[in-house]
Amino acid sequence: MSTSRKATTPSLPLKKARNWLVDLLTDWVKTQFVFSLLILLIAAAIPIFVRSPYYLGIVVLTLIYALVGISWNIVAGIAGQFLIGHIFFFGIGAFATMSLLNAYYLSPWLGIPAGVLISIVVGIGVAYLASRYGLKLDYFALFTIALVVVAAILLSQIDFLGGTSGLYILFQGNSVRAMTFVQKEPYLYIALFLTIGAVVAQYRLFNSRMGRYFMAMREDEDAAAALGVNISQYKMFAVAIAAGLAGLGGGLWAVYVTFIDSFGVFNLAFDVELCLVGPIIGGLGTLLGPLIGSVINKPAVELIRGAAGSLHTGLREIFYGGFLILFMLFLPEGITGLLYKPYRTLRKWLQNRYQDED
Amino acid sequence: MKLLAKLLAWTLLCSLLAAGCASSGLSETPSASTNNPDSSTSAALQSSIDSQATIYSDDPIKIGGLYPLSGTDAINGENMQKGHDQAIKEINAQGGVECLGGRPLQMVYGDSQGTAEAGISETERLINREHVVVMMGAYHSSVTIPATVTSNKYKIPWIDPNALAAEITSRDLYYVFMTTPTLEQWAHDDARFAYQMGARTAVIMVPNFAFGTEGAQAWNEHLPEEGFTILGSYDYQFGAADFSSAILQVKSKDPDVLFLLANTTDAIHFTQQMKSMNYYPRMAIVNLGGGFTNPNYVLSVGAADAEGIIVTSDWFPNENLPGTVEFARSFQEETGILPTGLVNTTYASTWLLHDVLEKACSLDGTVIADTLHNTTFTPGPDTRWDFQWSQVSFEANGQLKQAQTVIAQYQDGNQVTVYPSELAVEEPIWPVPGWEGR
Amino acid sequence: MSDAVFQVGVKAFINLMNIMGLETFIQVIVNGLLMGGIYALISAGLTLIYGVMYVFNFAHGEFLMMGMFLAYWGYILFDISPFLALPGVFTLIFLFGALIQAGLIHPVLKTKPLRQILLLLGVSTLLTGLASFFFGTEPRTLDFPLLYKNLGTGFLVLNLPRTVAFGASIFIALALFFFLKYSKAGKAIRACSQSRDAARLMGINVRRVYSLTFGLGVGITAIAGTLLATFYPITPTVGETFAITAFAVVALGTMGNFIGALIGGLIIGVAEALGGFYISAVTQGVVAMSIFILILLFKPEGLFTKKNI
Repeated sequence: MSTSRKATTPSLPLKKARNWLVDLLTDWVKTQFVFSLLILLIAAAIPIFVRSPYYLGIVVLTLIYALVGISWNIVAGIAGQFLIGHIFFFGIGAFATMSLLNAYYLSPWLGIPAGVLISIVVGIGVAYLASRYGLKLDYFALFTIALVVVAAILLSQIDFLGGTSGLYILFQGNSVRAMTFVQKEPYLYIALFLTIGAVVAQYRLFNSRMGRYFMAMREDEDAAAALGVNISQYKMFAVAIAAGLAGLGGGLWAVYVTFIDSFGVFNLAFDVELCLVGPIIGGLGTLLGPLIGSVINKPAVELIRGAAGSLHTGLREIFYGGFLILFMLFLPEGITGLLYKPYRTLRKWLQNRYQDED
Repeated sequence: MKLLAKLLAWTLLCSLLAAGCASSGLSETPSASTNNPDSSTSAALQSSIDSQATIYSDDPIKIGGLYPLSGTDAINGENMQKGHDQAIKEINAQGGVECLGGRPLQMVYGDSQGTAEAGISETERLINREHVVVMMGAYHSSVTIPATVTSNKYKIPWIDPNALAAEITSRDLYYVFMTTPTLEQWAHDDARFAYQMGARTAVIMVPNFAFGTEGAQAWNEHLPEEGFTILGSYDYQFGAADFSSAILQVKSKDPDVLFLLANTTDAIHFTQQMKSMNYYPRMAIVNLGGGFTNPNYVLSVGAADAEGIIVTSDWFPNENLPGTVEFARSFQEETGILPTGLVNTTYASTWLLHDVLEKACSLDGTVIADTLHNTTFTPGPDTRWDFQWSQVSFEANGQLKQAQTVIAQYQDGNQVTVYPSELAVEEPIWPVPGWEGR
Repeated sequence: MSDAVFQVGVKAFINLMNIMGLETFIQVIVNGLLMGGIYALISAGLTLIYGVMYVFNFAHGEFLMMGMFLAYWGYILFDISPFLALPGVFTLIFLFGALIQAGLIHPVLKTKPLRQILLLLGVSTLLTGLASFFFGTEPRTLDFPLLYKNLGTGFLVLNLPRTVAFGASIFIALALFFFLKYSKAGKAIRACSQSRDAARLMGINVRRVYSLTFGLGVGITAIAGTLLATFYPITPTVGETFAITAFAVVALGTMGNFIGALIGGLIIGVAEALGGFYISAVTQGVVAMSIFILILLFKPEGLFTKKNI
């Protein structure tokens, strides 16, 4: 009860704000979320300073890769399902959007959600098959890889889906209806909007009951089942959510790139590069992981390729393979795991400084 | 080890930031109004090109080249580069573009990785960062189709000397030009040639990827027109471990001619398996370039086994045209490779571009495109593309009118022209003998 | 007189077969079997690794590819016939595989299976990348003089390299089977596969056994590669296609079942050949995967019972 204390205590609203900030920063998940939003805020601000369509295009791709990375992180990182052939759902979204656009002139504003719906339905089907026939772990991984291989060949036989020649957007110039733009900015903001949505969804998932069930499933499926978690139901949720988000990324990517073909999309090398590398580098199972992994990986690849004139054949694979090995051996928590140590120091300091009061 | 991994991860994080910052000049063209994005983008771009260094200067004029420089088709991308580079070397040696003050040309390359995504990203870089005046490439139709959409919106002309899909010009993009023939044309001439040689029945066998399916479509359409009976049209799984089923299918139909397509690996494998199964069509095997024209093919299977195979392209180093053989030889001396398989078209198109720039006397994309559309180029004393074309003019959709079909046959390990008769240097071996005694 | 009758009889028989398409049918089946033998050998290694270590070797195809390249360089640089190179290839890849197991795989064996899968995917990507980087992506072939020799007459043509490869595959697979059943090392391997902890308690060095197993598994795959190189073009990505077929074979033949892998390989080889000829080429591409999916869904244990190592 010293009067001198009163003189140094800040005013009430400021104190409230400060406490709110401290509470936030002492929660690792919340901090990651804030960090994610900051990254996306920077992405939103980039077009103000950067005009070159080349760099803006890299940002667009990075955001799309982040979106797909988040989708894989949800099903594999949070829910622990071995959905290796994730590009299967990405491809469904891409082909649904493009084929509907070309055949029925269906605007991608409707076509992409249609692709998402189809992806979700297929995802539910895949999850159902897996549960019904007891496809676990390695078997499930192999099953999803088989789906990718079969999809590549079968889709190349269907003319509606482009056959072997692929599908390309016929429109030229600016058309909001066809979602084709001459400038990169509209694509950037669409991708940004979707990625912010995915980040928020992932964050909400982390703190939700479903998220906790996912993590329980991941850690020990049998124990979770014994505790009353309906495993097949939650597996279905996980796959459906991830499939939907991946299909969303696929649809947007197809419209942006304007050309897709079945062997180019449904292949394992692309699967590794698009779905797996980002979250693994960033930290599989963490909130920040897929975003920061994509932010590191995609621009690096694009810029190095541009600067070096070409990446020597095989170099990309050497790096990806090397990173996968190194991270899985030593850094399964990825970059986010690396950031945790300094974060812990910060948190301790904050706790000592502010949370010992009253 | 764990420390090493951590160090690596931190380095990654920092190097990304460094790479982003170090790239010279993040800020690009000055702020443009957003009312009419299309014109303002290209207007800003055009003004930056023209003002970058006024037309008459010593700075080289940059030409963009988009090619697969990594991955499975890297070797083809590199060969195309040789076509470009040799032409550029000669162009600059004889004074560059005189009309623009003798400015030299410079190729700036981008790696398409064989994918549409990388292709458009590199196209954006070449146009917006490197300020190329014209784009060329990209070997893969699947890359050229989307990349030309990008270049067309910037009003940057694109001259395609090595991708074959009809869609490249059938979309009627004003700034897109194609100096190769289409598969359609080749298929049609193949059919005519084989019919002339006496063949009447055919089996078509293609791989189930784009080049294959499109080739089959073209053959299926044109062979009956010329009088053929198609006994069967099949596809095979590319990269399959065993082609015996496919070969048995052909054998069971017993055609005069097998119309076959394959990439290099499958071409080698197919030939070897046909030989080991002792099957050869009654008269010949005909194909539309692809793997069979790759020099690796004849090196791998040997001249004896390649003997008699018919290949289609737009030019061969052995043609009954003055200057052909000399050009082929000097090109090979300079670059180490024969200018076949559309490397010739790439070289010729680069020289053509020089002539276009001379005629247009401008770096403005629209002026260049107008010139390409409205001019008939006739060879003069300094023309270097006349080993391939007697003159150059374009259809309204950008297709080169004079793009032609030349058919050759492997004789003694060389691709020797046998059709059309004006260009033939040898009589075709017909019917081609079977495997006995090879 | 009876001689002439016999000649006529044979001719008639052959003509009859021709009309009924039987000759072609048998030829197709035989081709499938020959190819199936190679599949069987590749899959034997994969199933061995899974049966003992419970790890699915997603990098399996790349060891096949290495076997092919070793055969190639041995032939081109040192004039060693691929058949003579077999022991050398086996030893090299065996050691390499054992090293990879001990160094990279073993540390993650106790962790989450997803990490193992991703690590092996990384190994696969890395090895493919290294091969592309150093050797380029152009296909290479062994200019092997025996390539075109055939056994048999007009009725049934057996391509020599493929037949030798088939024979060698079956022989090596059976040799492996007996090795596992009767040798000391083989018994140690089988002990580990039945119970890791019990084996350890019996004094078996599990880590060493795992390295032995992994090396053995990828070693015989490399042998399959060397045999394959006598008639199939070599590229850095050749492993991927064969690995995927091997996945199907292993699932069909029951994971961990050796004989199952042999029979599964033959079945899939024949199915591909029949599908490719009678249905369409596309079928040839999806046959293995379709069988795979059907097995995974409807009979994930495979055709046989588990554990026949």
